[in-house]
Amino acid sequence: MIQKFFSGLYELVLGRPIPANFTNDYREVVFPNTGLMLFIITLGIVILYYYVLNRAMSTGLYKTQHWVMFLILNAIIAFIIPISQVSGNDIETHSYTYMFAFVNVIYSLILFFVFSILLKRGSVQAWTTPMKWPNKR
Amino acid sequence: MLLKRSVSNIQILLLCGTLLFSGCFKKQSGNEETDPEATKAPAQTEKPAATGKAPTATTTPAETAAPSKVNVNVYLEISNGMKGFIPPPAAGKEATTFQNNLNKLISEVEDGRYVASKAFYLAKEDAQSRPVLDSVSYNTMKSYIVSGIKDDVRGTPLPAMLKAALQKSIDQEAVSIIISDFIHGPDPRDQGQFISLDSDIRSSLREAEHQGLAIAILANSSPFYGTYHPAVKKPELRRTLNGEEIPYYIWVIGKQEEVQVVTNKVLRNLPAQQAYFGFEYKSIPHSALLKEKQFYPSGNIYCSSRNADPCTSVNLQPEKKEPVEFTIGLDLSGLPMSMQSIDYLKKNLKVSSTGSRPSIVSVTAADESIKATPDLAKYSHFVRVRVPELTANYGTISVQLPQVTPTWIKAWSTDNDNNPAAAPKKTYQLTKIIDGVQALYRDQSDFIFNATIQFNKAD
Repeated sequence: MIQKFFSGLYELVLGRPIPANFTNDYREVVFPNTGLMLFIITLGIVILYYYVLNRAMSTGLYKTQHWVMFLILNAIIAFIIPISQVSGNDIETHSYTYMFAFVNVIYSLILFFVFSILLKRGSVQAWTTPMKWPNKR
Repeated sequence: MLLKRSVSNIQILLLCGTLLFSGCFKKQSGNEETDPEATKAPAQTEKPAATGKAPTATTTPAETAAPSKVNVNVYLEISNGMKGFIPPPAAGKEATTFQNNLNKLISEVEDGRYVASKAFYLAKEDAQSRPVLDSVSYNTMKSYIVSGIKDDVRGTPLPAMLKAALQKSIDQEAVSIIISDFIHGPDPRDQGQFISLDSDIRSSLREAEHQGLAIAILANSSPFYGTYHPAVKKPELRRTLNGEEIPYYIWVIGKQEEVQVVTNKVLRNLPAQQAYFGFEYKSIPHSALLKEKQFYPSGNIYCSSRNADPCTSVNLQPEKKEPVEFTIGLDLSGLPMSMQSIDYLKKNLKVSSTGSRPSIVSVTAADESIKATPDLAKYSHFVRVRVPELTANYGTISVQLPQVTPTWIKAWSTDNDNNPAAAPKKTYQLTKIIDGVQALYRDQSDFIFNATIQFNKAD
């Protein structure tokens, strides 16, 4: 189920895995692993930013540029994970691998933004970061 | 009133509750009951599949790693026609090929480590043209081979001799090694036997087929000195030859694995002319090689199961521009040597399929670099298959080696063996004799082996 979901998510943009003989390695291992890690790490960083740094600790990292910093940090992680997954499973690297990493970066940006919108209202200092919408106060 | 109603309400609630819970419970118990069945059912269906696979997995090594010792019966035909292979010894005279090879053979049988119990027989005929098998010691047979045949045996009733030898070996659970020139010498009054030679051979060897025995025929030729008795008596009744090459044959009859022990370990240096009948390999280890660098596939193909080893099920999807090409590794090391030769395989290997139209691109044998690769070392041969299109969503692709009659048989056969000097290395009606042998195994599988890969259309 999760396998199908994540392989569908990535293959929607990337098409069939190349080289084809590693299709099942991508579908059964790399795609679900990467997808799950993307999800969990992005959620973790968003919670770290809004609830730890800008609520529990009040570090003053509430500006949009700080938020962007964490967005980029997350994107870098999202770029590294697919490549490490591919090489860690003895799969031959191919331009497909880097396209896959790139797509994962795009997904990480979207996901980070979505999590921010959903969770920022619980923050004390950063509830308007990166912008006020949709919160009203 | 109100109280009553509330009580009745509570009752109804309770009733509903019990009904609901009992229902729930029933449902649960129902689930529990069906669950074990559901888990059992696949287990049961898996079991036959597993047991179906297990024997193949266990027979695989059994087929290749044959029994370590076999019982052997050696039958040497000593009709007058054989005398020329064993000219009278004299100092400075070289032994004939026949003498050399036979000497090695019987000494290997006598002293070799692969032979458990052994017996030596001289095959003759009595006055009524009935076969006689004389049990002799190793030394007696050796002296026959070294210093010549002293007996006067007129003919060789070939089918009867084969039958007698075979029956004796079956009774003693031994592999027969029959050495003869295989020139059929029936009673002069009954020359009609030549007409029915094929069916006579078949009848005589019937027991071999019933017992599931296989036959290996090895043909060699040796210089011949002395009186030659052709089957065709015109124009010459007999000829005196001085070193012309005359064929002789070694037939090995027994269980397939035991025959292979004899051919590979006892006889060893086999002549180029070999023929095998009744040989079949039920499970040749094979795998689609999809990730090995040496045999990189092309096109859209991947193993259906990620870590399957061996991979016998693939998903593939050939495109117009990009046909699928992949390599199947085969372990043919259990086959007779002549069948392992790359030329033979190139000529005879076939690929057939349901649901696709494959063709063979190349056949290669393992070279040193492949033997050094652990994952590939278990395969001896590699067949590259091209699949340009699928005709169904699923099916099979099989690499097969059909049972073929070796070409040398035709070349070594003749309809007139009267003058071997003009046409050396030919045996009268050899094709007919072989036809008789082949007829035995007519109903067996058409293939020596069949390595099948399942496929599904890739999604």
